Amino acid sequence: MLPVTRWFIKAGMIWLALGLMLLLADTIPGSPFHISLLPVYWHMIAVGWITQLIMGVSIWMFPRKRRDRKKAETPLQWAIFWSLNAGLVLRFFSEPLLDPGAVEAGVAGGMEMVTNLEQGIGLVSWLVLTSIGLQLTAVLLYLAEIWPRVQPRRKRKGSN
Amino acid sequence: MPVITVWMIRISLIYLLITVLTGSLILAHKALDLHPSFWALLPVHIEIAIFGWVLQFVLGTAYWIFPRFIRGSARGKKSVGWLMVILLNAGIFFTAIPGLEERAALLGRTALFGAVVLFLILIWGRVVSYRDI
Repeated sequence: MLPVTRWFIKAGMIWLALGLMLLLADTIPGSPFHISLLPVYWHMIAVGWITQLIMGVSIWMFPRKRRDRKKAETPLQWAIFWSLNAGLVLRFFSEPLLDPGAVEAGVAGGMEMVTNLEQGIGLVSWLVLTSIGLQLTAVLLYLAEIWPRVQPRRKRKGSN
Repeated sequence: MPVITVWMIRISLIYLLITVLTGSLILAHKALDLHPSFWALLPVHIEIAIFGWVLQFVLGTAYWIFPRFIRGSARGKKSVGWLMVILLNAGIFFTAIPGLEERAALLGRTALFGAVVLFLILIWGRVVSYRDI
């Protein structure tokens, strides 16, 4: 198994555990959370775990274009990993803060320091937009990596 | 990699891009309050993520990688495989497109169910260990 695949799978398992932990926290009656965690834990499970697992395993197992690079990792694969996970971290810290109620209640750590509400929401919006950019970049890079490797066997042999 | 798998995985990758783009628009709307109509993309985003991206990728990969039949066609009847691909994608189309009649959604769900049944028919006999044969 490629090291980058191990990172994908281990990060995926961490996101799964975190997602289920938040799901549990959100289910507890009288939960102290005043913010909507629903999009956070669903995306932790669907993107952080399932999608990341698919990406990691397919990068490892799908046929390579050239036989001589069979076990070589590429910077592109690491770029996918870091872009996706940086995007997810940024998203999960910033998305719940988009709820104005969360800011007013001072639930989110660090937001108490923001005295100007409008300025605070602007900052959070920028963080969310950055996370969108990083996640989108990860998917585009993954498509660039995997698309040429999805080929019928005969055609792939001919290209060697 | 069989041609059926190539089609399923490539279509699922296109769906991945679509679900990420729709999700990005919804999240951007949450951040910037662009237009409430962006929320209409939410069912499309979910439907395509679950069935178009994850399910189709998994079914396509399983069709390729599971043990093949020793006798006869290696992965079962190809016509059944193609019918599965067509039903799956027709089902996703009819359930994901917003604004279609309720009957279209019902038709879509039926097609999705049909695709999964065909997948079971194709794959059931391949869930074996060669040592048992």
